[in-house]
Amino acid sequence: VIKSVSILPAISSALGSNFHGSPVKFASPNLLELVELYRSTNTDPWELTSHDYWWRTIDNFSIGTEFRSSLERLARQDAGSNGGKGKTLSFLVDQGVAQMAINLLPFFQHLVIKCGDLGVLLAMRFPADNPTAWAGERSDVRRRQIIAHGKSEIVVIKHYPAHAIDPQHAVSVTGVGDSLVGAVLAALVQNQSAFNNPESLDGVIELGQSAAIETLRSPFAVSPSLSL
Amino acid sequence: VVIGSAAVDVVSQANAISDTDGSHSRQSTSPGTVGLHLGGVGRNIAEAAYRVSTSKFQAQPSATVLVSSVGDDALGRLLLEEMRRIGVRTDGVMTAHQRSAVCNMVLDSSGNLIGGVADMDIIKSIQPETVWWRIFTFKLMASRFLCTGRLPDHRI
Repeated sequence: VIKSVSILPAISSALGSNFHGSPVKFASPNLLELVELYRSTNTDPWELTSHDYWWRTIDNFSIGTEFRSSLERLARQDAGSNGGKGKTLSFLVDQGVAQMAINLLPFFQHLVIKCGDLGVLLAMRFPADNPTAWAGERSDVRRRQIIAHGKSEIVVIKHYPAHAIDPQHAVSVTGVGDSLVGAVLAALVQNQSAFNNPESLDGVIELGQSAAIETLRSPFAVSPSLSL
Repeated sequence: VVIGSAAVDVVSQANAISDTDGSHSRQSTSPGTVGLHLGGVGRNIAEAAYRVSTSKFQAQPSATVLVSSVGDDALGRLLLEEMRRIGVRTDGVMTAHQRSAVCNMVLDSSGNLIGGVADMDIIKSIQPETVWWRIFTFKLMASRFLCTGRLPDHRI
């Protein structure tokens, strides 16, 4: 967890007065790492959230009451498939997970947050100079997506339920998150704008979650079956 | 290009019987299984990306590169040899005069982590100059970089 904040010095040195656009394009923390990243950006010695750039960017998001009420409704949805075992997405609000993710978007443009059996949470921002099919999308709690159309930015929150697995087939959790990230990166290299479009994003996350499940069923840190 | 750790995971799991008879003592060994697996977050991600990109996207096997460091020791040779066997290119992996990274995990009979020791000091030996030198030497026309944690220097 502690190592997840070792990127902060680089971010700090990248933030100039005229900076726009997140210094890091992609980060994939788990829930513990997200909390630690958020805590560290807020506190000594970095205090990145007191930077003028952070204020300007968050202001551009124009997160309003509509976004918040959609988030409240999303939080009442069940976590999906069998993974959550009757749990809801209340952690998005109760533990401040969605709030923390949005506050980190000025530094990380695309956050793929690994929530274990609660699935995967995407948080993304698309500045005006980054044309995206998300511009034509609206918040839709049934599709587990919330979209804020800001002054010059679009902010997207989207949840993907964990894939179902019989607990008897879960062999080892080692490398499950790494397999998800490796598969997502392989897809991103093929299509560098895969996150810009709802359908291609669905495909990328599906590929990542399938890889994660393959590794969960395997004693290895990366399942050899990913080569099949 | 993935820049990060390559480690050997040593996973020990005690047999169920030694849990129940109370002899799972701290001053003695317990019967069970001990396995060696390749690990390290950077290496795991590189292997997963290599496997997925070659099987799903028909990418060249050489399209995924791991930049990492292993020790000049038996575990370092195991890491290099196993990665070659899998097919992941190893020309971005440097050999340092240090202990290879090892993560030792002790599990109870149900698979829960009891404890362990992670010896990952070698990752601190990766210097930014060396990383750039590797990238230029191998003419890696990389457009995407991923760093995993614990790297010592913010210039990376």
